[in-house]
Amino acid sequence: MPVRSGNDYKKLTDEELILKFQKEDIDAFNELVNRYKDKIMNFLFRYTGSREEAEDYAQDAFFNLYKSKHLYREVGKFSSWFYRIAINIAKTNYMKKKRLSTISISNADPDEEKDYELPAKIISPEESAQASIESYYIQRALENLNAKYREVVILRDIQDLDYEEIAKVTNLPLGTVKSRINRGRECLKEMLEHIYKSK
Amino acid sequence: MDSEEKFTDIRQKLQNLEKIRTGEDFVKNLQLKIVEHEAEKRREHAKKYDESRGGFLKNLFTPRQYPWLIPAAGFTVLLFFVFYITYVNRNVSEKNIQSKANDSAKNEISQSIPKSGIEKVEPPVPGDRMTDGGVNVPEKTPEKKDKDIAAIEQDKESRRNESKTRVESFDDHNQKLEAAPKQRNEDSNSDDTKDDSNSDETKDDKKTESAIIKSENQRGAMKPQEESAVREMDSGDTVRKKIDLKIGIIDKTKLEEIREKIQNSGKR
Repeated sequence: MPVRSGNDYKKLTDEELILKFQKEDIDAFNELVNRYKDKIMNFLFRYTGSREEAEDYAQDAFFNLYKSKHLYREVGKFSSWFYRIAINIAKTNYMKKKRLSTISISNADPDEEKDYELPAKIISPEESAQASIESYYIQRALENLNAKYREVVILRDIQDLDYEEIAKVTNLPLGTVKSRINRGRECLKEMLEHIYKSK
Repeated sequence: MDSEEKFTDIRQKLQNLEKIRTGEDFVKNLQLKIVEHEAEKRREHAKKYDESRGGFLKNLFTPRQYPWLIPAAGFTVLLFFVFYITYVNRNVSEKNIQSKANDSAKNEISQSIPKSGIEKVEPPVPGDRMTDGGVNVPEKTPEKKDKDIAAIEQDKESRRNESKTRVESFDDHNQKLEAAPKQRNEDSNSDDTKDDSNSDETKDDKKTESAIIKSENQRGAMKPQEESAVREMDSGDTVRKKIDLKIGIIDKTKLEEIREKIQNSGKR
């Protein structure tokens, strides 16, 4: 049996790699890890706002990919399927964390669902001075954006996925995806203006 | 206005955000996690395999692992069953027969021994013979053997004497019968006138003689032993009584021989 070098695997598509991995080719899995580890890490960091959590969730995502490789079907794109795994892990853990650490405004009035929440943690001047101020505030704004808008905005504007793929990842209709993206951007803009004003 | 153009500034800001990369240990940690998972999987598989191996009964009733085990076990059970029927059961029946024979022998012994309070059973003495019933039979000394032989000879002699006496008594009777016609002839010669009456008397005498002989024959045929045996037969008793009856029949044959002798002597 001919042995494939690392370069050979780099030429293969994601779908070819996952099909090889389904046939117990561990090198194909390693190639997929190398391709997606930073993308998933970046997405999860922007979604959770914590590096440790993002790394843990990314590991969980790749571990789930390892365990559930047989569930992938060739009909869809591998990236869509894998982002969906990552989002599910992030959502599950984020909701758990949110219940413990944030004071939800929507909890005061359950009928009214807010598009974004004010951060419970007050940003100190020292903290903001340490990091890049703009990226820091954008990240804070993203964290406080409603989860349903946040995921689509990150996938579109940070991960650079097209609308169709986002629709597949989120399992939503294309129109809903577009409207959510627009709504999320609006909310983000409002939040950033509010933060800059308060500063 | 297109939403992409409307939010170009915010899009630009989001795209310019720093790209976060995984740590150096990310792949190592992932590999460690996978190795642990594989080890756990192997352990679970081994555990399941051990459980599936199970005990004897489980193996017996799950034929997918050892499909030959059920027919093998069935065959062994069948063999054992056949062996039990042929050998073990036969031994048991033999034992039962022996025990029955022992019981009957014990009963006979108890009947023969007079009940005089407590029965004393002698302990087994080394050198003594044991009968089938477990009864001690002391070894016969030469003196005892001589006594036994003498007793048997005495018994034989007494039987011979009895037969002789019987034969003699029958001989006497025959002589009487022979003497009777001679006297009758003498009487006929002396008294011719009384022929008719005498002839009648001789006829009567002959009748009585034949009746006597018949009665005696009958008496000889039905000896007291035979009569008693018949009585016992009528009462419907044991095999031993039947044997007594047979003995009586043997005596009857002897008696018939004797009768033939008598007849022969009569003819002479």
